[in-house]
Amino acid sequence: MSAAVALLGVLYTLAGVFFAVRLHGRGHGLPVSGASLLAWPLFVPLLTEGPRPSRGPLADRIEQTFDQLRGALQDPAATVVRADLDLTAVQEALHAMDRRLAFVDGLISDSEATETQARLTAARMETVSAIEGLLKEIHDLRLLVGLLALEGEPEVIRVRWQGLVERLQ
Amino acid sequence: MTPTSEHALTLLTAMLRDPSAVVQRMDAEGRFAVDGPRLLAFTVVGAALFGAVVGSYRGGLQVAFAALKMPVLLLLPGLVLLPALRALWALGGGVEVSYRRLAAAALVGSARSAVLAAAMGPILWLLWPMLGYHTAILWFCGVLAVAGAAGLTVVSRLVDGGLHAPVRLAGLALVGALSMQSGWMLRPFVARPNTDVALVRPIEDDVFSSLGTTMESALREDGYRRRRVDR
Repeated sequence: MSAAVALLGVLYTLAGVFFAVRLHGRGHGLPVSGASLLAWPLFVPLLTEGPRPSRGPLADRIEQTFDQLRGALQDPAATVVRADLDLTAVQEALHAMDRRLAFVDGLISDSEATETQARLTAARMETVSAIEGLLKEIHDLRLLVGLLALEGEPEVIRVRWQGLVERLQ
Repeated sequence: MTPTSEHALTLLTAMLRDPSAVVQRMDAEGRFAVDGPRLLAFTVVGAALFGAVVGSYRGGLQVAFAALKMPVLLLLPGLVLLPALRALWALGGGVEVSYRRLAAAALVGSARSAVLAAAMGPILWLLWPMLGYHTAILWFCGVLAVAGAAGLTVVSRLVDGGLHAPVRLAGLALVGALSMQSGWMLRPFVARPNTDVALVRPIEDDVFSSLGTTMESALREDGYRRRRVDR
């Protein structure tokens, strides 16, 4: 191996370490840092964008539920309704509610037990219930996609989706 | 099944069926940080499996060497060429594609190539005992070309309808030539049985002259086999 190749290898690795440390500092987890260590030129966009928004306590469940629905919508039978469902907007709205929960959690943990704190805790529980209810609805939509595949009735999905969006508003 | 593995399987299916939608999600829906590392993992694992199959033609340490080098081969075009491709499209065709979108397409494309190459691995593995050295190299190149084309189309679709054919072809030729020459520099992947194992060979000639020589040798090899069968 020539000295030039070895030098390039060392420089590439050093750049990878720099990227991994910077991305970790911006709140990205181990998978992103590890991946950027290996292939940092492909992860440059993560370094140039703004700081990552904080995640709420239900973020993983929201991601999982939407991933499952997206998976179901990959079925050819779902082509007729795919364009009608603005999944991104609803997902982002749920994440926004979830981030507010994280903010409230921080306030509750820092404060003493008062009447206001009790009200805040109750309001938090209501928001959690609202998010969980919406996630159940979205999970149910996934089953309706199955029904669509068997019975070919897309209107039910559209109506349910519209109801869900209205509830969110 | 854990949520993480279920997410990964959903991504794998989407990447094979509708890669443009995955690129769109990563670019516009803030999924880059979630899907990017998974796609890289698909590339590394898929390419390593394919490399191990290719290395099994020689066996022994060559299996590990080829498994180690194959992910590098599939990732190299994405790691090196994105700025050049972006500049070519912008200057040659006036089409601006964001670096984020291009990087997402490169990740999806390399993962798609790696998974398809790994899926075709068993075919090569079954063929190996029947093939001479030069014919084996041609089969290896053929499988890699098919898998590579499946990845390349993902990047090419970014500029669907917005770029003149010659500029688009120039971009594809650039990626193709770099991939082929990288493969040449990282060789051997397929090594002759009963020869010494080497991680890489010294640089000599280029991939195009070598492919011509290999094709001639493969034809001679085939003729020799047929004569033996006739006798």
